[in-house]
Amino acid sequence: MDNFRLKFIEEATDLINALENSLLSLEINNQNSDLINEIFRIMHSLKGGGAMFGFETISEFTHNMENIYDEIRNKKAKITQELLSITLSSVDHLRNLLDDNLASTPEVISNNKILSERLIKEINKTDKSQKFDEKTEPQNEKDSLSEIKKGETYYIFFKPNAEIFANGTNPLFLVDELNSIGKTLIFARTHEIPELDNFDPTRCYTYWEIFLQTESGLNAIEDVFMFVEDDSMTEITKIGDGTFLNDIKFTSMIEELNIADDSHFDAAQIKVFAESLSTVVDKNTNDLSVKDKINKFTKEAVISGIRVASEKIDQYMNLVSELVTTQAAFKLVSEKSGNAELIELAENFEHISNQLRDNVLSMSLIPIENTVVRFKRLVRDLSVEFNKNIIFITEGTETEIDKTLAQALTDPLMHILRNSIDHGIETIEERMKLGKPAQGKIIFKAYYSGSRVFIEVEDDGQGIDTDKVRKKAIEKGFIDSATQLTEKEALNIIFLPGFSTADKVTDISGRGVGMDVLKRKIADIRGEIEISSPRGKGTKIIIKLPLTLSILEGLLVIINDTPYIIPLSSIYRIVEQKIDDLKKSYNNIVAINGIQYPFYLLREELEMPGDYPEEVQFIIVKYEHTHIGLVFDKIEGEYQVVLKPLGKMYRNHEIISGASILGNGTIALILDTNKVIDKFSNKAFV
Amino acid sequence: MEEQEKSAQNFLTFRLGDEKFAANLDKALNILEMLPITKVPQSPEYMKGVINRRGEIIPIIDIRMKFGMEPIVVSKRTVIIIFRVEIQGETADVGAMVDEPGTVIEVSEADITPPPSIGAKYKSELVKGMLKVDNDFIMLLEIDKVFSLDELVEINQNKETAERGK
Repeated sequence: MDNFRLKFIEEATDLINALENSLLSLEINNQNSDLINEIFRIMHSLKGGGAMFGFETISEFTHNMENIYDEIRNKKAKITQELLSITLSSVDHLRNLLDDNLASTPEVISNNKILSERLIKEINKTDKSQKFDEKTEPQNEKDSLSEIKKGETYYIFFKPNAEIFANGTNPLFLVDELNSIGKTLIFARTHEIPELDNFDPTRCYTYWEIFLQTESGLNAIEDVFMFVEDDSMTEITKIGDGTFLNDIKFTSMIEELNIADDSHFDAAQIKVFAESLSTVVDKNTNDLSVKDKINKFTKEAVISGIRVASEKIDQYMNLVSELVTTQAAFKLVSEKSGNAELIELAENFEHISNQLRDNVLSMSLIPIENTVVRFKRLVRDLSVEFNKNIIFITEGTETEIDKTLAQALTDPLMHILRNSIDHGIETIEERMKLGKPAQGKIIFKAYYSGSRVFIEVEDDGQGIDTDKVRKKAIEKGFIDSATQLTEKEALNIIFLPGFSTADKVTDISGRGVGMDVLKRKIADIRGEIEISSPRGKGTKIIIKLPLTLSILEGLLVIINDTPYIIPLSSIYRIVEQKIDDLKKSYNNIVAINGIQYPFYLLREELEMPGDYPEEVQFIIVKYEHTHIGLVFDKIEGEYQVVLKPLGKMYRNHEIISGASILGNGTIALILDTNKVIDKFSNKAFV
Repeated sequence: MEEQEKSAQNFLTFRLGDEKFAANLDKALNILEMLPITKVPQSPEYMKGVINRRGEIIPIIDIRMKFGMEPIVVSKRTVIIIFRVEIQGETADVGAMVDEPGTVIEVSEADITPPPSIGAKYKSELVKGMLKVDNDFIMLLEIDKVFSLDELVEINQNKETAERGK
């Protein structure tokens, strides 16, 4: 059963996220009935799922939320700012309820009480203000059912598939739920239960026939069966308008029919009988609309996607990685053999495995939208808290990135946004004084650039005061007062460990996590972070990320028999040079085609034994905004390699970011050229 | 494990230089013939590099150097023993180059004595105890500690401190 609970938690988390998103949209566009319907639908799914999987608190709690939005849906209540705030707090609360560890803490329990009371207050408000409809008691009050005068009567045939238990569904709960929305007359049909010898306790043999008299309408009945549409045969027929179950003539007729045939009622026959009892004439139109609705309902159930455990995707990814490696080996062997047929086969093989690789890569990518929803909320809440007026604009949220990257990005991005709201954007008064628009702006942009994804967060706040940074850096002994810094270098100081402009620290930004942690976290996922901050105009932070962490296009190069891989994305040009010319050059700078390039003789810098050959490969790599040469013995060619970690023993290794196994079984080391240059350039602030 | 089998335990023996050592058998995964090792630059000398064990990348350590002996010279008898060890609370597979593999021996609890505290030739925290086998003593290694990260971390930190002038 635990498995099902987990599944529910997963689904509920998605639902809660979707709910939050819709609520935030509703805040902007509060007349949109599609949104309101969507919100109601999500609440209902949560309530139903919660009850089914034993999350009673969630179910009860959502019930109150649902009631309010039902009123709104039926135009009996209005959306207010206050209501939205309560609902959003309730959304947070729902998240806590989902977490078993949190749900039982006193804080959450008391929250549950407070929020429930507030929600109920909201419901009562709507009741009082809108008296034109004699809406009856909340639906869960069973005791007063006999007093219901208005309503419709339905016949429901519910036959679960035999395998329904395997989904963790207890059909009795559904029957019970029907019971809660009206008065019922239930017949459980058990004659399909086989002899004990053939009886399989994991299968469901029972089906039900239910007469339901309710005011909630067909939608409410359909909602009960929402989760079992695919797992059961459900037929809902409207018998007619009116409370037939209160009519002794009707019930005794049904009892009679039951005695005559205890396997199946004839709905049509009952309907005819009900008609004779009923005064309502408008039968045909009602009948039609009911049918339409049922059709529509089943149509919506078409599955557009399936949910796969991310572990399985990871496994798939690993297997494809191995396949790509094996394919590379196969290609090598086939080329060596000179056999044309084999070579052609190898080419096909390569083609297919490339497609397969792209395919699995796309599977593990998720749109950045999923992460951004949380940010919208963060900006909203913090703006209120700091009494600032901020608009959060997002662009390119459909950009997809690796799910592991998306996860790893959440915290750093939150941190950046907090900084923008807290330190960056001025208060409304200050902005007016400066002649800026009262409303501050944070723009979040995501887009592809080559084989990378760029994420930009830009605000129009006060920017970073580099004089202050400089002063602080001197105070802290990072630099001495004589050091000349460019604007860029000064900005980069904030990424140094232990640097924090303490006089600005507040509850929000100064939680002990500095920009250095931010930079490290981004570096952990092979990303880079850049900052620019024209004073007084705002701050722009750009995060550059690889599309994926597992496969790399690289150039295989050799120094002293050790193979290294340089990511193709970081290579600018390759030229051949004479080692003697390089050694003679002054201060390790050489002019190629009139352009001067600083360079590093890696054989020496890496303390590898032996000497360079006469002709060496001068590989010019991109580094920040310049180009720098790295010198290797020779080049083997372009490869597509699968990244593997070097293992825990090398966890602290700076310049090697991983390794890869080549087609012939040897290991090539992946050289992080940025780190190599950082390390050998002895630059203090990079 | 130790509590369950109070009476006797199994150990894998191997030779480093002229001396015999042993490690708990359940720590050892397998013994491999020498394989080509890819050296990783900018790492301590006792870390020989990495090998490819069926598609998995395994770091290789010269444990002779950990004990202050001369670096290992690869001979026909040299093998790599892969151990599964705990490094800072995480399991990792690590290979150790040894001069010669030995055998699996069974030693009763009574024949395991604590390491000599005085006049110890090797760092005492790396030695778990002494095994008495046929009037001969074999040093039992605390294999997790032999591979522990501490030393590497230290080295990296020193380097960094020196470079950054912190």
